[in-house]
Amino acid sequence: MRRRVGRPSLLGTMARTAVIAGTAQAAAGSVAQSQAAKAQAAASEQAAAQATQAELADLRNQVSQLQAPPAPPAAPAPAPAPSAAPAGDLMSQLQQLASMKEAGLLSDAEFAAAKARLLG
Amino acid sequence: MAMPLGPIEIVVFSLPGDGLAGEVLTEVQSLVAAGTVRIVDAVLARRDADGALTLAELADEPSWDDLAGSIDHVEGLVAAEDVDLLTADLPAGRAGLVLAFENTWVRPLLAAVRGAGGAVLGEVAVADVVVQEIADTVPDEEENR
Repeated sequence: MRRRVGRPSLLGTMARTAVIAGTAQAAAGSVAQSQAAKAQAAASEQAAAQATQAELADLRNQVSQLQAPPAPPAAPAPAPAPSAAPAGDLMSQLQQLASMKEAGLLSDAEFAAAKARLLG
Repeated sequence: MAMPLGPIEIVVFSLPGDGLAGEVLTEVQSLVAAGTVRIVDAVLARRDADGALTLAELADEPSWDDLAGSIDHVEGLVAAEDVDLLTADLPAGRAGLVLAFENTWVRPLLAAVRGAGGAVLGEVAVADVVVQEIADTVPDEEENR
């Protein structure tokens, strides 16, 4: 057992990645789902510990956007309305992602996936 | 570790007693010998009558140490926490054989997909009982004619 105890969990890591990358809904099976729920809760807790209330609201909004299921290939998501996501907003979202990565909330791969989603 | 790792799949089998079923060992060994799979980690989790879970390494099981020797070792890849989750439904008096393996056909296929500018959009494994249940609801074309 020596090397198994206290090591990062594959399932937990996978679920956390799915939450950030917005593929949690695709995770099948009760184990994956309960892990995804835990990861989501953990992500919220970590965010709460590090962010002010205003920042937290932004992060939640951002995570829920990232979690929106991808549009089907036949109907690509329309360009976001200017009022919903002006260029400055996109920039601030990217900056937030970068700071989440710096804070250790996102791994390199998660950051890349989330960034790719933001940039459409 | 000789080779870099591709995506791995984890399967947990619930087996009676100590979980060291000879016919399962034989089949796993032939899959490894044929190069169909590469076992990257394996662990046994035994649930006693009181519900307590004990982990055992294959290398410590004389009848299975041959297999342990052929594991392309990343021993400890499957964390104890993973084993707890994976064997949550394991009944008392049974053993969960946790096998983490790489399907050797995946990596070249993945390389081809990525080379073609593609990506993995999703993957899901469907249990055989579910496949059968749904397959049974598919109307038989012969009958409809």
